[in-house]
Amino acid sequence: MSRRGRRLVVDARLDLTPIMSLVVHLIPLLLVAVRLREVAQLDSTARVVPAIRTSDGQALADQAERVVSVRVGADGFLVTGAGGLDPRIPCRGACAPDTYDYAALGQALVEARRLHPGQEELAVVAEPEVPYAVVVGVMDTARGGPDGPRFRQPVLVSGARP
Amino acid sequence: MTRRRDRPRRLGRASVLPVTSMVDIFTALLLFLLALVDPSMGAAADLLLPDARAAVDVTPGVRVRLSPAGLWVEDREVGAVEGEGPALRFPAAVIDADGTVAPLREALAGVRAAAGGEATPPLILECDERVPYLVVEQVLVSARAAGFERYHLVVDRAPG
Repeated sequence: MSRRGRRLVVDARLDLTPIMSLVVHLIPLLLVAVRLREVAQLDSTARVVPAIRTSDGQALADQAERVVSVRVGADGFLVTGAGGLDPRIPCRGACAPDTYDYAALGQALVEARRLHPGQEELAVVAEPEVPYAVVVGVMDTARGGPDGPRFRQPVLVSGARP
Repeated sequence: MTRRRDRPRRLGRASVLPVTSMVDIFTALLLFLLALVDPSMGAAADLLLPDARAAVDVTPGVRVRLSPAGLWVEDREVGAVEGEGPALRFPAAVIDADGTVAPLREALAGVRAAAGGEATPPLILECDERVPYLVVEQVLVSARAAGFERYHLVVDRAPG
């Protein structure tokens, strides 16, 4: 009997189970990653104002009467318009984005808000070397906290240097 | 005596689950999720966004991205930066006498002109948290010179 007619039968179906398993694990991983990084935005306006120097005591006093401001420097915050509170809020240790005292700033802004109930704007003046993260931290603190409303419209003031 | 033909017959086929259609669905789902995650909106590898709690959802606008790697307007690179950390700066050659960054101002003016007579959209600033404020200020002054008056600062929403 001839053996030429025999054919080898091979199961050629692709085993997709491991691929499917990989994909199934990838989906929750992506969902978790998306949830961890939720992008949002802070609204602001920016103004260019004439330079105001802190050495000009009368100009600073006049400014404090009109507007609440936070100056962000390399050594901490300087808040005007917060009444009898110490306007200087130093960093907790060496100044870095996470050592600026946002809690004390929040308390000063609550007091400033109490003294200026009709005011929604807060002027934020930052020194050139201050990291952007600190400026955003000030704006975030200005918008509110658990201790009450603060200032809904932080304004980035440019052109004014302490 | 039981005859052979009365016994239960066994089928010779293997019991393989047909998963091809499921793989199709999962692949489509995966592509859908990847499309939802916009990598250009704050998820760039070289961009560390600052955290904020009192933030709202991102709205449409003209996107400007500023990182230690450079400056982009709507995914088009318009300038480079020099230095690192607090010493990061735009090259002096691109700064005009009024303090604006010339390529940025021109690019934004072009975007605004392309919008025609419609209202100027807000500027959506995606800025790295390490960038010094002087550079941010130059971007904002340039945007203002190009006619943009509203700014939204993109942040990572902090928990709580």
